[in-house]
Amino acid sequence: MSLIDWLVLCSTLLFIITYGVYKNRRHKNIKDYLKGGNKSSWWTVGLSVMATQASAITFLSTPGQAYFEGMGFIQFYFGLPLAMIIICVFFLPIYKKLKVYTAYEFLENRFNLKTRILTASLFLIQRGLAAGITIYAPAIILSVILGWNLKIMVIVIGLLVIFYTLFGGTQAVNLTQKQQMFIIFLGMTVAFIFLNKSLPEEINFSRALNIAGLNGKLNLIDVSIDPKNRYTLWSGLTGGLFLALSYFGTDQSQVQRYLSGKSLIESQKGLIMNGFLKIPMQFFILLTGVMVFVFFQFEKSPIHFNPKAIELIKNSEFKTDFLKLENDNIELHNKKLSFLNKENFFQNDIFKKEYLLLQEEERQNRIKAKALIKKALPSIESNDKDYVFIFYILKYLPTGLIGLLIAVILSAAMSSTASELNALATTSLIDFYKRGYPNLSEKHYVNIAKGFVLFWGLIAILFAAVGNLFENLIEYVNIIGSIFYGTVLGVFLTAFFIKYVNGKAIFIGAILSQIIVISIYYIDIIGYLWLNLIGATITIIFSTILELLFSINHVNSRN
Amino acid sequence: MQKKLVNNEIGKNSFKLKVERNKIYIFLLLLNIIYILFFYFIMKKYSYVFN
Repeated sequence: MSLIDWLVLCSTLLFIITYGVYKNRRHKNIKDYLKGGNKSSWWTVGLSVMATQASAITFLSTPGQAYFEGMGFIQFYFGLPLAMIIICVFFLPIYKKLKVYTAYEFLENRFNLKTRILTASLFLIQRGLAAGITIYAPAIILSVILGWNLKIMVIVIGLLVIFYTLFGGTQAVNLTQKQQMFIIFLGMTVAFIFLNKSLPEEINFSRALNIAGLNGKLNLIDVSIDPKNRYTLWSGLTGGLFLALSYFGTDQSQVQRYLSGKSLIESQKGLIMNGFLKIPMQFFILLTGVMVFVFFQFEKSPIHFNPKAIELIKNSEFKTDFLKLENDNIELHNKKLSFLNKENFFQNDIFKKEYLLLQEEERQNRIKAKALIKKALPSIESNDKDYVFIFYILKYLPTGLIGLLIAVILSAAMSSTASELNALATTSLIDFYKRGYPNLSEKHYVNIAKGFVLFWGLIAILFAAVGNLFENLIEYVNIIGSIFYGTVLGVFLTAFFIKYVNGKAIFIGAILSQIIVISIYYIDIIGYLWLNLIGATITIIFSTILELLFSINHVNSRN
Repeated sequence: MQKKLVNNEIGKNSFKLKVERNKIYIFLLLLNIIYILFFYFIMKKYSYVFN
């Protein structure tokens, strides 16, 4: 990175952080600190909700996903607008009416203390681990690509987030997220425009889409009912709905964002804004990945996008095999290019078929290269999906824009981590500390909340710093999320929709469901993504049956 | 008291919201369908069927 890139990067991040903290440095009470004094307008709430969900991995991984597998991933978000409506109609009015600070606080009012503590504890375990990953995942990619020291990077990102979350509270998190989203939109739009401009002159946007379509990258909708297909219209509308309901309705890092709204209507509008914009935003990010794919039809792409893996394999005993694959790749690219440059390529089916055969050969070549890397360097991540977009940014974007795009990635990492720390501190204070020590001064609670931000921030840094000690760390955290999310969602759905179930039944039902979900995971009979749905369903069924048994027992004992 | 309030809230039909707000929800649902149809249209327009 050049000096100008460093200036753009540092000034963008430092301005956002200092402005956020300066505007929100004083807090009279915990309402000010944890709910931002309920001053947020609907668009601040909306942007904050979007910024919390959009982590750095969204901007690194999603374009890579589109590059290799097309835009079918968009279907995963089709259940989200419906989830927003359910939350606006059923969840939010009650949260607002009860003036709760955390979603789990509501469960004590609806059921009992035990259920509140159980769900709050599950949130702390799951989110406490995920906060480390939110920092670690982009840091590992940027450190590989830019050659920065991983541990220093983790510590710097972590400390910056702790600084503004601790001193500025919820309002600073919301304000910084608004600006971070502005930078994210700006950076992605500029990159997209630049990408289109850098295609050959005769390839306009429509022609670019033709090439993408020819390669099957625009297969956005899959109506098949084959369970092997991970992303279909049906899995998006059902699984996506459940996932969005549990994430937006019961995860404190999201609940806290919309509870900071000025009024019920402002919070609802904020969530509806998320429902309106989320799908177009994901579509745009995926389309950027597809345009990178089209760009690399005219420009030589490396056989593997992880530069560290390439460097290491070229110094290993597999060097000759790898170089042969690399040369084949260049040859295939040139052949493909000769077809694409033919004047009547788009009208001639034979040319297109020949081109697709070469494309398939190139794909097989990449698979071979990946397998070779896995064989030679088992400890290196052989999946290069996450490296595609950052490779393009660093190699092809002009000076200044590189700094802006790195600021986009770091902003996304920081905005998600800030929400997580903010929510972890709130849950620790409201559901545990304040519940145990109820009548202390407001100032005392604000100080304790700040202490919790520091505590969870340090845990996240520590976890991110030792992240490389665990293999497949990100997958483990996703698994932990899927194991716990289902039960928590089941408890909330029962609370809202099955009025006759009481505290004792839901608590035992949730414990039993959690044991069964963990057992299913250990027996390994189903993919872990399904555990969410199973956990929620079992919790609802068990608690309903148990409540029925308790009431029969109660009637019998009275007779 | 709080518990009663919660149960009352759940007991009430929460759909009895202002008509304007319901209109937004219906619009969002329609928009979701429009998104899906739009994506379907793009897919059909740019996918290739060889003779």
